[in-house]
Amino acid sequence: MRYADFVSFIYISLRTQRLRTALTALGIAVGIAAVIMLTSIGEGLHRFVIAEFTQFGTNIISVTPGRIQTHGASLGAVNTVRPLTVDDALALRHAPYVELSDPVVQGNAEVVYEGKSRRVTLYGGSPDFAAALRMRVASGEFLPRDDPHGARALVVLGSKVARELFGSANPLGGRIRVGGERYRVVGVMQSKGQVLGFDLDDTVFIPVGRALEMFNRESLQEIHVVYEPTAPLAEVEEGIKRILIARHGAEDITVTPQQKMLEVFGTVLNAITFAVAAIGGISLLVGGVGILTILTIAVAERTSEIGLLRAVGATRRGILLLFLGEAALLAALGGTAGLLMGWGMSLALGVALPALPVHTPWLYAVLAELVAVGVGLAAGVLPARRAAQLDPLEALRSE
Amino acid sequence: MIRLTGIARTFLVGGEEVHALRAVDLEIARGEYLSIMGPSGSGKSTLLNIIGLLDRPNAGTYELDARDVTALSDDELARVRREKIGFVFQFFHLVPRLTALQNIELPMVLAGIDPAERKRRLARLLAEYGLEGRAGHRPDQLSGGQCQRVAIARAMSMGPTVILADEPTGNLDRHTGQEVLNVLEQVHHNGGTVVIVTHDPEIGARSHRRLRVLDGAVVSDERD
Ligand SMILES: Nc1ncnc2c1ncn2[C@@H]1O[C@H](COP(=O)(O)OP(=O)(O)OP(=O)(O)O)[C@@H](O)[C@H]1O
Ligand SMILES: [Mg+2]
Repeated sequence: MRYADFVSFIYISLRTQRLRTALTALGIAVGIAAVIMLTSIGEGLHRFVIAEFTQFGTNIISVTPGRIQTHGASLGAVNTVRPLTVDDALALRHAPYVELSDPVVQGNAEVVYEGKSRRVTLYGGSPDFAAALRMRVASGEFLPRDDPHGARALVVLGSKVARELFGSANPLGGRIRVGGERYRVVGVMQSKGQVLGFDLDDTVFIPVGRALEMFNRESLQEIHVVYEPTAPLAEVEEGIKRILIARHGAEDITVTPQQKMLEVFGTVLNAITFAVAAIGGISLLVGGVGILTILTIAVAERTSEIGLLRAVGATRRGILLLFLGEAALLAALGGTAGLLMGWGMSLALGVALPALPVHTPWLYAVLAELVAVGVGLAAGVLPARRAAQLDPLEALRSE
Repeated sequence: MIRLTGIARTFLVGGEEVHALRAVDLEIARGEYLSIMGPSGSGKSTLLNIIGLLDRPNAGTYELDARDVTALSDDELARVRREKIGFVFQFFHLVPRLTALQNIELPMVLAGIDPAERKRRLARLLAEYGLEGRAGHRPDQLSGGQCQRVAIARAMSMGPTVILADEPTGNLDRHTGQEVLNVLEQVHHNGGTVVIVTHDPEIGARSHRRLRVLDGAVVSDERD
């Protein structure tokens, strides 16, 4: 049988039973639409989280004090952790491929200006803090390049803090109290908005040495290291470790590249998307049962026709393929309809709830269509085999 | 052309053997017009189905066009049926959702014959069986006689060695039955081999060779 004739024969069968075809295909369509919509939300979430992180750049490494044991805690080796210092950060500038290194300490502090006070997040950092995190200054300048150990009492305000304290007045040059000490405002940051629940605008930035004194701390919380984007990550990590081990006498730090974090996030989020797709897949299964049922009925109804086809020369395999083809085409039609439905619903969802990130990955769409056809074929196997195994004479006699 | 030797067919019904055919010997030559008659249950249909390779004998050998087809595989049987056998049934057996044209075309479609060649043959078949005006009609829009003409055209579409008709007029009124018989005789006149199973002595009388079957055996074989 020629391919075109094969398709046309199947198509005529499906077209003759329009309502039945439509309802059965709908079962598959709902399943596919569910898969598409759920994966669209999953993928949207994925992209959202990744975008939130990568706005700080991907070629950044975080160095934190203490060591995370990945191979199970060994009881004997209790590490004495040396503090991570500003000098460590300065030393890391000489590590290979490193462009910036920025010592960071973070805490809460009260800021006061003309009787107005506000509790904000305070970052102690170097003049490179803004560059490392790709943040921009709206007016004035970021912290100047003072001696790290004797920096002046200067502060940069997040946009929200500036607005709350100064209103419409120009905060530049303004004198405010930060944690009880007097500071002069040299800059205001551009608004960065919420990042993963953190309000980066409700913050102030002061030199790291002063922040350590203010919080009475010896150790930094972390060091941001920015490296050349094209550099081999392993060598960058190696260089950082070598320098800090030399300075501390032991590996008492943890080096976490942003890229590795992204990979972990990616894996987790992919798993979520996949799990969600699998849940949608259950409704596909129901659609598959619909095809199985309808095809079983069709084989029973068309028994004498099957006998006739065999009498005029169709082989068993020919009959098998005709019914399998019918199942596959039915599922493919449903799959296509489901694809459009799911896509449309995702778009509508994106319009109705702009906060919910929605993205339809085309790979999932293609996979869903293939799965639909697969489900159709699987559902068709049983009835198609029944049809193929009919004895031609007995089939002809059934009326 | 067709040679049956010692063909037997038994059915097991409720643990008992029913001898539908017992050692039938039969030769049919090209161009014959043969009728098979006999009481109900005598084995006429069984004989025809064995000739048509829809059924297999329990014993004996069957040669079709000088080839032993007794032990062919299921797929090979399908191929031989497609190429050499044209069936005409009492209940027409047209596919209800296909048009007359598509029904006639069916064996050629299954055989994978190319569309241009199909079109040529279809034009000839429609003309020959007086179906030109009915090509686009579905079976439920055709009369019984027209349905049977479509079935005959379908049986002829592959240019078969033999046409096997099991009570082709059994489901038609007298007049229409005559008409269908005329069509089958026309096939014979054009050189075709026709075997008809019938209960109607008149039809039997019109054929050129008359077989009588009784209780699974050929009891008489007359020729004009
Ligand atoms: N599939 C079958 N299973 C069991 N017995 C069968 C089967 N087919 C035919 N028979 C038996 O074989 C015998 C011959 O049947 P067959 O159909 O050939 O008769 P027939 O001459 O065509 O009769 P009719 O004129 O009624 O059509 C009958 O006794 C019938 O009951
Ligand atoms: Mg019979």
